[in-house]
Amino acid sequence: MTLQQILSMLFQGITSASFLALITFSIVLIFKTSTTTNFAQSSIATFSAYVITNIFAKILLVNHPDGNAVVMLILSILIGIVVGFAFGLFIDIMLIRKSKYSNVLTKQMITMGMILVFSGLFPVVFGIFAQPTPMPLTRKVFEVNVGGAIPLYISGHALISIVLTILVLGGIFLALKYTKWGLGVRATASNEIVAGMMGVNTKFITAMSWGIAGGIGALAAGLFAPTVYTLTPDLMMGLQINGFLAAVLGGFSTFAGPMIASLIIPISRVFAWQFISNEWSNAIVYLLVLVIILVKPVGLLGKRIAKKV
Amino acid sequence: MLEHRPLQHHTPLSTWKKMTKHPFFGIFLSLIVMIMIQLLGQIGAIPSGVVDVFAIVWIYIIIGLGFTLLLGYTGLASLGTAGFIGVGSYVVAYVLGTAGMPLIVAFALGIIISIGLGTIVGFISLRIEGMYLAIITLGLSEILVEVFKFWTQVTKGLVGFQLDRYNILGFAVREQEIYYILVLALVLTMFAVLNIINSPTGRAMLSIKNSTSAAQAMGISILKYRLLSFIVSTVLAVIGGMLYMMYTRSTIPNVWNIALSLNILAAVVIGGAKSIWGVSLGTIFIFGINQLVFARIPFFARYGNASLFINGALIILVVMFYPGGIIRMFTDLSRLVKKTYHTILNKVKEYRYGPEE
Repeated sequence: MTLQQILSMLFQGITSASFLALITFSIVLIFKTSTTTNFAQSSIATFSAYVITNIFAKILLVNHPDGNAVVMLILSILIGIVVGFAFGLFIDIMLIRKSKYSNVLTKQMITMGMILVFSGLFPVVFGIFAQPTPMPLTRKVFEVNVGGAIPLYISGHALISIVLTILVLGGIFLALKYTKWGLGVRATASNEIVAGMMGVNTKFITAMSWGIAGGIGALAAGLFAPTVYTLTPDLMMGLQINGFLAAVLGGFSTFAGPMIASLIIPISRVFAWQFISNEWSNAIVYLLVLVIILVKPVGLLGKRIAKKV
Repeated sequence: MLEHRPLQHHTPLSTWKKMTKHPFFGIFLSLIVMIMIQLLGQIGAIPSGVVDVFAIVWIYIIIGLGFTLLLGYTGLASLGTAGFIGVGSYVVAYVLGTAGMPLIVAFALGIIISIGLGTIVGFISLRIEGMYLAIITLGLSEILVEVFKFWTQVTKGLVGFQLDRYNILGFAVREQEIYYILVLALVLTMFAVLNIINSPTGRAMLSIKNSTSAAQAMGISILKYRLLSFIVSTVLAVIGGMLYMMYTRSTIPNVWNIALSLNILAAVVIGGAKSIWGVSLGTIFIFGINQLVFARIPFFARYGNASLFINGALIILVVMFYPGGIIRMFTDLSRLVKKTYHTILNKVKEYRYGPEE
């Protein structure tokens, strides 16, 4: 086991962690403001990924064959983020806001119903065949010499995903800490009714959180889609399940815990893949996470919240 | 003065009325309907494809009846159903196909495994509250699907397991005979679930759904009833999987995904999670109408999954605006009819005898 191999594995793990962190964050943001686990997050994200690919490959590339591909890609990702934002906003305003005072199970089932609604929409809107995802950035590979015989290969796409994730999540964490919106989110998260009494526009805060979560999901899908080469309706489902497990593992009640957990899960998967078995790595990691959650149900960083009867 | 009571005569009509009031009457009626479908299929009045669809629907009703104890009575949302069904299908595949042992061994093994799984999930549900349970069961289901995919010695991996024709008690059976086994299993499940629902056990489960703390304060053991509802629902899901394998004789890991769990949830919610007739109607709607009606409409035939849109929209509508489900509609409609009948009757009386003072 050389240093170069370990570094390469770490890089692999961090690359998949960057997609997972985005999805986990969007799930946690919605949970904090609306107290529901949004199962439709992956569907919104997948829808945006379809929009991004279709705009990039079928509209922009066809009409401007000799334009700058990177600029066009960024443009189509921005449009995809707007679509994700709009879907998040729509679900909150039309459905979740109306069932604010119903029980937890009801809201959860609404988001589960949204999964089915989206699965019905995909073939009608985008056709029944899987689509390839063209990405100009994946082709660029950097070589980094770390002292071993073989240099470390780093794909441009992975590098950009990691940098973008850090920038976006860092920006949102700063916004949560220092802006009025962030204060509103934290107030709504701690107690929605009291926050409303103190003059926080909780409706606006919640709607914005859904929108931002949708946008982040769209970004994650836009970055993740090229790494699997084809678009299918359940593109993000695996990531979402991992995201939920990461959120529970880190503790739903904090923002930092799920981020740490979404770093731990992919890295441990890469190491399990390398050292134990490449077929069973998924199952091993899931099992490990489940056992940890059973031992510590509030999560790694979570605090036990006393419930009033 | 003694009140005069008319003597109760046992006319055929009164006996019939009394029979229809009995809770088991509906089960008896559905038994007749289910057998009629098979008989009509055998004489060729119904295409055999339609009979197959109904057979699968009966299996999903068994699974849905187990699920309704969880969702409608104990108030626990589980997304692990599909994984448990898959376990059942692979147990039958392995015992009949690879090991070559009789079916009774498969059933014994399946029930033991399902009780074990149900106990595990039940204990998990005690540690992990409400919303997280759906996530944990989803994770568990994912682990099971990984096992189906990669434990190739038993499950034959991604390509799926095809079973040859087999014998039950020495008789070579075809789909027609297995259909009657399905019907028998469904009727027994209906009896069992109806009895659980209308007993102190069902009422204790319902009280846990409404308020865990209040139920605990009344001396109801959360441990006992959560464990019981998880075990019953898991056993029924695994039995459903075994029957599925017996009827279709093929299983693929990718079938047992979250979409199937969600469709079962949709069936239970749309039909009405509190009554066995609601679950049955919802399952017929989700799994039957989908195959029989939507598959014939060119739009839906072209876009494969498009009918899922309707299922999803219906879940949202029912959950938000009509929590009783389809079965509520019947009671509401009959109430409406009775009300309008009485208002019309009063109007007629007013017209005849003048307004009341």
